[in-house]
Amino acid sequence: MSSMLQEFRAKREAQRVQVKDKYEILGFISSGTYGRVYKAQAKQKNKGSNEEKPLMYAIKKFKPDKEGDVTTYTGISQSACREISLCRELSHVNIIALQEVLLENNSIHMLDIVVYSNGLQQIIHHHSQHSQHDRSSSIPEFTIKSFLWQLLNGVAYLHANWVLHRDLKPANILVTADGVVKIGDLGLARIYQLPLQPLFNGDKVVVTIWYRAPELLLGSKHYTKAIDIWAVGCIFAELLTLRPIFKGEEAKMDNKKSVPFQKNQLTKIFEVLGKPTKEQWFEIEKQPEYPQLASFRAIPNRLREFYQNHCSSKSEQGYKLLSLMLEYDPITRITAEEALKHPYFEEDPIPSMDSFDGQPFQYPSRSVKHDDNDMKAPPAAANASTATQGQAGASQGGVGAGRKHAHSGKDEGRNNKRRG
Amino acid sequence: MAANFWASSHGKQWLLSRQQLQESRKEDLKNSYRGSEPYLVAATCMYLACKIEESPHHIKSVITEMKHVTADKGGFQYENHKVAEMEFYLLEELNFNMIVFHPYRALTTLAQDLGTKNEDVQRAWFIVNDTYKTDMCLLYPPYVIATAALYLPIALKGGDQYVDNNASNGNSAQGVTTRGAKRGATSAATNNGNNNNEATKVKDIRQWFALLNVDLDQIIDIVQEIISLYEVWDDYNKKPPQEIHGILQRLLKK
Repeated sequence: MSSMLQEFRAKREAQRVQVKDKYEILGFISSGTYGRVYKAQAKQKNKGSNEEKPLMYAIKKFKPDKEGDVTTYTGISQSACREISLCRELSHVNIIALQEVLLENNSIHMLDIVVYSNGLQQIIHHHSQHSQHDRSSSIPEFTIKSFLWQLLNGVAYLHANWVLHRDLKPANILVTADGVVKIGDLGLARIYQLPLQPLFNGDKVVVTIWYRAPELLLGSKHYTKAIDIWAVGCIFAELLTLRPIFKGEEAKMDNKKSVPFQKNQLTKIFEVLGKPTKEQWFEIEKQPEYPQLASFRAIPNRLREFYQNHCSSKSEQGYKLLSLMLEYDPITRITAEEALKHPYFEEDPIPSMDSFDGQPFQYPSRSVKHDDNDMKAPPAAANASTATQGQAGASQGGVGAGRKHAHSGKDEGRNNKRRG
Repeated sequence: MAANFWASSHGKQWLLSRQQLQESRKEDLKNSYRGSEPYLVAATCMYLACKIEESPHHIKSVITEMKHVTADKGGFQYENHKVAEMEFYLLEELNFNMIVFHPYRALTTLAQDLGTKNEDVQRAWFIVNDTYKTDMCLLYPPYVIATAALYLPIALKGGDQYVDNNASNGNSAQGVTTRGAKRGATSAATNNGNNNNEATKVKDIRQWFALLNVDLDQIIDIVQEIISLYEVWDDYNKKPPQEIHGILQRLLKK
């Protein structure tokens, strides 16, 4: 019976396009729980394109399934399945475009190929390093506003299509050399229209801790697109101050059954926004973790002080928009569609699709390890090279943890394995 | 995408004309049916579909179920890694376009709008289930299938319960507000006695269909196909088992 499968397999593999036939691997960019990302260049120019330079791509190689030293098939992970299926459907200027998916090397390696771009994380990092000596090196308001507008534009598209991103943070937001924002990493994204079961059942923990909305921190099982807006609000604040606004420490999950209460993260939020009241958040008493709030003392909202003292923008409208995105009540929190029409975007400087237009900064291009272009390198080596890279994105807590927990119970194998 | 069927890969790639379907069937015939290992393909499809629909099951559970289902039909001999390997081939065959639209969501929305009785929604739901055993999902958009499935149980009863008694005043079909299926059910019960109460009325089925922006010819085709399907099934059940067995044996020999 399996001889038939062998026949089919041979036929299939003969038809398969090899990565090396179409792309030249230039180097290694980063790695994560999912696998490794390489920078690559198309060998052939796209038909119909008059551009001189060959197009650059990022190739995401999903980790092969490993059990001991033997490579086996254990099925594609839920996150790869989501990322690929959603990317095939979505088509928007501010969402990463998936060029193609290739299966290679006895169909173990799956490769996502997307247009190459820089991370918002690196841009913030670049400015924050300079601002230690010189306060004028904050990101220009024009650039911040253009980033924010485009980010909201992409999020509005996702939400209009009933897609929740669930992991928005600077490391997952890319910017092309032309200043166009591309929302990436849809590994936690999902369609939420009439779900078959509560969203919580599929993924116990979503969103990296610093960008996680208060309703999630209070244990809400039926959350909405408002969680993405909270994350955008946090990113906006981070662009203005060059550091995460709510930099809490994640309480780790001890056993796989229960999700821990994130006391430290909530403390960080309350320090800026005050302790939420029933007037601010109508259904706060219905949140599963509401009783825990008794242990917090009442603190007033200090967002205005925060904005005046730490943020690079002095725009009153900017403050208003930020406070609307960081509204405690998910029902009254501004939507992406509404935010795009906010007066902040109508006052000078007017945002543009080229966020870098006329600005003086030169960003160092994303570090690429050129000596590491062997896509067949074992995963152990991949982890080691991340450490030496010192990529800010890799050290940020939460994603790995989120991913890991996300699949506990619905074990897909490789996502639950700790990296390194 | 999720909000627009015609912009989705389903709308663009998975809708075929009858001719296209026949041609691809001819292609399939070149491969040996037994060689394509239908049980393995079926298990893999189930495994992947659960993931896509955000209700994932472990590969082991899928295999256990397959073993159970095929126990008296030759059994299921594949291990985890075979299903996982087939998944890659399946992904490739699907061109990585995995998100599909189902008629159920449209059915729920349409049934609510019409004020359909619960039992009729239930029947329509079963009909949609049955359409998956045919080519219909490859030939018609899901919302058209839903409309046809909704039409059938109502039409079979003569549609009497969906006649608007106020139709003579001319604006009823447009003027009535949307109601849930439950309220539709109450309304049907009180339809004759209390028709001056706007809120307890179902819509007039003829007017409702006339106002739908769907190709009625397609609905007729689907309804015809569903009826033929049920005739075939009925016929199959009436035939003595030996005769069916003989037919299958002949197929296997080829």
